[in-house]
Amino acid sequence: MFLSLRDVTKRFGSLTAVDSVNLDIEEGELICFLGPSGCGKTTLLRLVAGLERMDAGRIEMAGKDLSKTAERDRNFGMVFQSYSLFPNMPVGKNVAYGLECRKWRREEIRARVDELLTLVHLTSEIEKYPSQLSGGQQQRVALARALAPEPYVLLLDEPLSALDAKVRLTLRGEVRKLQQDLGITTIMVTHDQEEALTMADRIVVMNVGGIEQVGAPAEIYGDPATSFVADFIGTMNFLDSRASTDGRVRLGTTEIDCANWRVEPRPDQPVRLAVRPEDVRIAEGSDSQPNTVTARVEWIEFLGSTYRITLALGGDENQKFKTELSANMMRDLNFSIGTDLPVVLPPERLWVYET
Amino acid sequence: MGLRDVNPGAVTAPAKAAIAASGISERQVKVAFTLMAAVPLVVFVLYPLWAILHKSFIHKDGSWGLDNYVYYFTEPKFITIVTNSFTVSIASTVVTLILAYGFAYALHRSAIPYKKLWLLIAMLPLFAPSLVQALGFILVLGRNGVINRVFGTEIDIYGFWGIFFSNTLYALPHAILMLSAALAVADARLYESARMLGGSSWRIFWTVTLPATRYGVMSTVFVVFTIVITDFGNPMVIGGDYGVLATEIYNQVSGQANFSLGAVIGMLLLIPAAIAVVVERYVARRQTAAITEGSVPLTVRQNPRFDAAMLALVVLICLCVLAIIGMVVFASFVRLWPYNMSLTLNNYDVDVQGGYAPLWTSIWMSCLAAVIGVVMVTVAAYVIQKLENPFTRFLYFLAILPAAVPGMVLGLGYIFAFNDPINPVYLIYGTVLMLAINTVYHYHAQGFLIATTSLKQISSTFDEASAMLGGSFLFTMRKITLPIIWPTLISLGVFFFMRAMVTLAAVIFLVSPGNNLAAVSVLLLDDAGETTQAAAFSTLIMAVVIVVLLTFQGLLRLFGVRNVSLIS
Repeated sequence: MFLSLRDVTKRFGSLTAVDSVNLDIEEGELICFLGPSGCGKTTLLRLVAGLERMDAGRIEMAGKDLSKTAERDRNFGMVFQSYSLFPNMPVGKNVAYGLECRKWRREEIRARVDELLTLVHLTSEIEKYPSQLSGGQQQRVALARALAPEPYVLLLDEPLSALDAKVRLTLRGEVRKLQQDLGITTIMVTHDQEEALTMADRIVVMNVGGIEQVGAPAEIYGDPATSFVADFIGTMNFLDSRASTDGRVRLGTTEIDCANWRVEPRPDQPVRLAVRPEDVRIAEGSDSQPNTVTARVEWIEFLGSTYRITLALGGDENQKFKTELSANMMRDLNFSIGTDLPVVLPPERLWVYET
Repeated sequence: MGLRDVNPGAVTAPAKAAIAASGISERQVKVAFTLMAAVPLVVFVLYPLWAILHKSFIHKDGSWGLDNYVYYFTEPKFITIVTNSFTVSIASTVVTLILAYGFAYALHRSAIPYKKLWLLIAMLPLFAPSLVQALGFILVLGRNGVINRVFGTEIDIYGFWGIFFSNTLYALPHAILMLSAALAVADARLYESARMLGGSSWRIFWTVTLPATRYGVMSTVFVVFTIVITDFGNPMVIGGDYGVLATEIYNQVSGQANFSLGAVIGMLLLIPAAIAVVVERYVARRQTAAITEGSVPLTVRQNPRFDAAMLALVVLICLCVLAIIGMVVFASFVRLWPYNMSLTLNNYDVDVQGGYAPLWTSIWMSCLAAVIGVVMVTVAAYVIQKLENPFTRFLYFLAILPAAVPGMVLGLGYIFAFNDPINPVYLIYGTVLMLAINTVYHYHAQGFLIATTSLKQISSTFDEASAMLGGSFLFTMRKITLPIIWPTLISLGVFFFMRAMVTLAAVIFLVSPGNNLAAVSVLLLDDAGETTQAAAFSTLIMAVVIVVLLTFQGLLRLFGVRNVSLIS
């Protein structure tokens, strides 16, 4: 394992920001720490960087303990949210900074700076000062500066969040391509799930100082391990229900099958049933299908190409869930607010979590 | 060639990735810096204060106890001196506050013309030692002053009124600067709503303006009070028989060589000054930002009648300042005041009290103080800001402690602490270097706060970015921090130079005939009745300060620095 974190813990006074985190990171992958603000993702990144001291645990790189190594000796590159380009130096000097710290020879530095600025398409801006660059350009310089000393690991702390939406989309692709081309092990912190889903090889979903789930983007979205992940990633409907027997749950008066159990099934225990809006199907015709429940149409929102329908299970105001329908289907089904509809909840697309 | 070949970014990275190792470790550098900040503060601030406290308990026969205090407290003269000190200081403080508030209000809340010019004139007393104001008042209102001579009146300026007027003039620029800072910013929305609600201008002033500046006013009151109660030069020149604490210390020590009593009075002077400083710091900390993100800056509206009144006030104050300072400059060209008022340059041919030597000593000492001051306060601010250290709280206290220590007390403390062959500092005792160090630590608090504010404005992520790239503490300081804050370092240097040129109270006990200072020379010339030569010397001091100030302001402009003010 390239980087491994063992029981890493960090406290700020009475607050435990990172609570015995265990994680293995492979060489060359882009791993994303994703979570709401205050979940400890930035603190965890800063622990890896060496900018914060651990209260307990170990961080190892290729089997070597890093806890006694100061941040400046780790040879990790870091890109900060606020760019943090040195305002008193032109672009070229910023990129050369890490090389000067390592006492590279002058001509080597020049060659390396050129190489990096070519990579980020900023060769013509070498003489400019950071204040003369746009936000996106500044962030590309920051990336070049971090990569110049050939770091073992690249750390990105919300690198795109200070940029406007359009630049963010372009840079997302650029950063990912650069990372894959260089094959550099990269940790990125973000609170933007779309960013994580599109860029990462693996995502670490964090909540209140701990890891909820680690997995590939499709895994995290398609098979959320906890109700927190289910709720945090994408949109998820939750319905109060009770466990029954033989892998079934009781929803009001109906019992339905459910394939994915994330809680020990004990009969009559209250559980949360989760289903994504795109997996909810309105039954067509009168042929009765398994796993069908009745729901009343509560609200219809027009979203352009689709409609979002809010349904109440068995007319119960406390058991609302949503689905999306295309305009075509809306025409075919032809219902209005107050209509009772037969709704199919496919067993393999249902998850059961504890309450 | 694939990118992977050019750029192996993994464990197999080349040896070049290793950070160049230097001879000394990062930890050693940090310890060295902490010591560099801490040791001088302990030696040159804490130890002299301890020495004067200790001395105040030592009896004539060498035993120790409270006798000196008992002796002094039972002396009726003492009660008079304390009463005098407080009476004149409170009177000066109140009048200074009212005048300065009016002045600052006119500058920031009215549409009068030539604001920069008025401010510059009002700052003039800042560029002269604190006895030049008294000298000016004597020339205007003294026994042989212009008024008495021309109108045949017999106004007696010496005593309470002399100290009151000259100290008010001396403290005015400080108060104007502080109140300007408080009045410069305001949220226009508050004033708009007040007007919409039908408030009269007078009512708006009492309910919006004054409350918004109350912290500034309180800070000013305490700072001004400290300045006037600890001032030595003006009461020395114009006080006559009206004894105050600062002159009493000098008389006890220099006149009667009664060091223990000097120490006792020093401790007594320390108490009100220390209380004022503590309260001021407390008030300053409670000041919350009056301006928030949504604030709309207040733009001044024309109001002919109000503007005329404000202009009258400002012009009147400026005329007073110009009259007093101008009279000193004028007197410096007069042949024999007041008997022969013909003009001459003879006074600049100073032939007594060491001639020009003290001026050169002063300039040399001020240059030393500027360099030492910049280095020491920057190191102290750097260590306290950037190094996590168990000592930093204590260091911060030591760094701002000098604000509470009157110059006389610090100077006297230096005698007790260092005039002793056993002490290693004795090696530089009586040298210009000692004077420079004394000046630096006398004004350490103000310089330190300027440096700290400047360092705080640099985002801490620059340090982190540098560290992640492999930059050491020293490398980061050399390549990033210092290049960013250099304009502040220049302004710090000018600040220490200015203070060193005009300082009197702290160095009065430390000068020796061999290395007299310009401000002391003025005092001695005046004392010897050489009024016109004293005026010439004062004029030269002011000229040097103003030339240095303008030169550096010009240099900063030349380098495109506009946000750093040299008057602070």
